[in-house]
Order: sequence, then structure tokens, then C-alpha cells
Amino acid sequence: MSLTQLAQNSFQVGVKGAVNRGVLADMQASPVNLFRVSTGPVLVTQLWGFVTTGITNAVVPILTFNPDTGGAAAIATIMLTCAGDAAGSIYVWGGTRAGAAPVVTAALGMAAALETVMAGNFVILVPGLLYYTNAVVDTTGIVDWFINYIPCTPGASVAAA
Amino acid sequence: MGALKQALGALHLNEMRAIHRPGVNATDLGTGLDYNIFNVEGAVQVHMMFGQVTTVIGATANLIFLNFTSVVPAATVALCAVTAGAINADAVNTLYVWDGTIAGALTPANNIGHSGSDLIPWVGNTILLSAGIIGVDVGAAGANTGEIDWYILYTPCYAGAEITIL
Repeated sequence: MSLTQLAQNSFQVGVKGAVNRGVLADMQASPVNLFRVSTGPVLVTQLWGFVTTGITNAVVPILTFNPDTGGAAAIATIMLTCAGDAAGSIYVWGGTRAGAAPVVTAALGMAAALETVMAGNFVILVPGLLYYTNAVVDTTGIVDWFINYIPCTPGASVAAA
Repeated sequence: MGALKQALGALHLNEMRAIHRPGVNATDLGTGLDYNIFNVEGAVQVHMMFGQVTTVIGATANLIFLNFTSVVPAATVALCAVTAGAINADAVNTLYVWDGTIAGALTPANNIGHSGSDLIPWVGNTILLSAGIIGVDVGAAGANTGEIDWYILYTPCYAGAEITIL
């Protein structure tokens, strides 16, 4: 068995991360591409956005995933309006499609009453593009998006799109 | 290479590992018989396991589930329940998601670990397996076309314990 075969047969993995640094132009259009999954499946352990510049307009993003093979589908319900969300607000995805949209919290990944949890431990994503649609554009806001994941095969990765 | 493998195993003992078994029709669904996918060599903790259709499944109405044959005792038990529906005609990127329980079935999901309506959660924390073989029971429907890749995420319980593909 070669070193390559050894690495491919059973390789050590940890939780990895990627970030999509927001720019002002992002929310002035739709869709907004966030991350691309490449090479093979990954297990998503967390996905969240962090407001770096306050949002003015009533934007209502819908997180959506478009696999390289197969049709695009929303992975969360539509978010409540982000109008007035200040820098430091965090949008936490609960990992569910039918459950609440990413919940806005202040500074911590916690709502006022409770931690905002990732339902289930992992969400599988095959290679494809993760983005959000935005029916109402915004003129001021900037959001950074973060994802944590575990690669399921050598080379499987997530990078900012 | 054996010594290097052992050294690497000891170095990374407490780290999770992932292993990917590409599907091969000729020796998997194409036989119409149950087939083995992973060899568990020593005690491991399993964190996640799922299948991904990489070549569209043919017309045979296979009902599938996972089983485990331990070395001691030499017995085969079901790891999960039979799929609620047959896998025939399942498209590329259909995922068969196991929730980590014996009572839970492999649930087909499109492209992501969600069923039509929602997330399929991994409800087991970690599943302990001793030495043995993980296999796929394809029922009695017979041979089929199509390929399924299988993935497993695990942590070895001691140096030398690992999972390899079959």
C-alpha cells in the first residue's frame, strides 16, 4: 500500500472552516453566492452570518443550495426582515429546512432566551453552490458568512464563492 | 509500511477519520446479493454514515439496510431498519442517510442531508463497534444497475483500530 493509498483509505479529519467576507455590493443584488462545495461530500456542523455594517432595508434572504447534479432547493425558510440589524448581529442557521430561518442574535450565537442550536450534528452537502436569494435589496449592509464542515473524502472542501 | 501505518495511527489516535468507499456495480448491486463495504479492525466509535448514489439506480426494487457481522460472537445484526421505499430509479446525489439507530431506516434525501421536508438528524451520539464487517443487505429483489458510494466517519478507540474498505 502506497502512502497515497494509505491516506485515501482512512484519513484524519477535523472540523474545518471557511469564510466569505461580505462587501457592500452583496446585498444590492440577488442571488448572493456564499460557498462552493468541491470534490466530494462534506458534513456541515455550523453555518452563520455576522453583520459587520448595519442593514437598512427590509431584506429577506432565503438560504439555498444548488448541487452540481440535481435541482436547487431552499435549505431554510425565508428570514424575517433584517432591516435595522446592527453590526454584531449574528444569523445562526439551525440546520433545518422546515424550521425557523436563520435566527438573528446579538453578538453571541444565542437568542435572548436560549442558545440557537444546530439541530442534528451534521448536515450533508454534496458538491454544489450555497447562496441566498434576496427579494429586497439593501443599500448599506455588509455580512460576513462562516461555515464549519468535515470533509468526507480527500480533497473535499468548502471555499468562499 | 506496516510500522509507518502503526506510527501514524498512534499519532492520530484520537482524531476523527473519514473513509470513502466508491461503489462498484459489478461487485455491489450488480450481483443481486448482499455485499460488504467496511471492515472494522478493532473497536471504533462511529459518528456518521451515509450512502450517495453516483450512478442512477436501475429498475429493480431493492429494499436496503445496513448490517454488522461481529467477529466475536460470529453473528450478524441489523444496524438499521429497511428503507421505507425501494431504491429503484433513485437519481444521482440521492443520499441514504442513517440516523444512527437500529430502529431508524436509511432515509433517501436529495443532494443534502434533508428529506423532502426537513433535516435527517444523527440522533446517536457515538456508536461503538467491535471488530467485524459492515454490509449492505439488498433484499431479495435481485440484481440491479447503479452505484452507491458509502462514507463513514469514526474515531479509533486505540492505536491500530481502524476501518478499511471492502
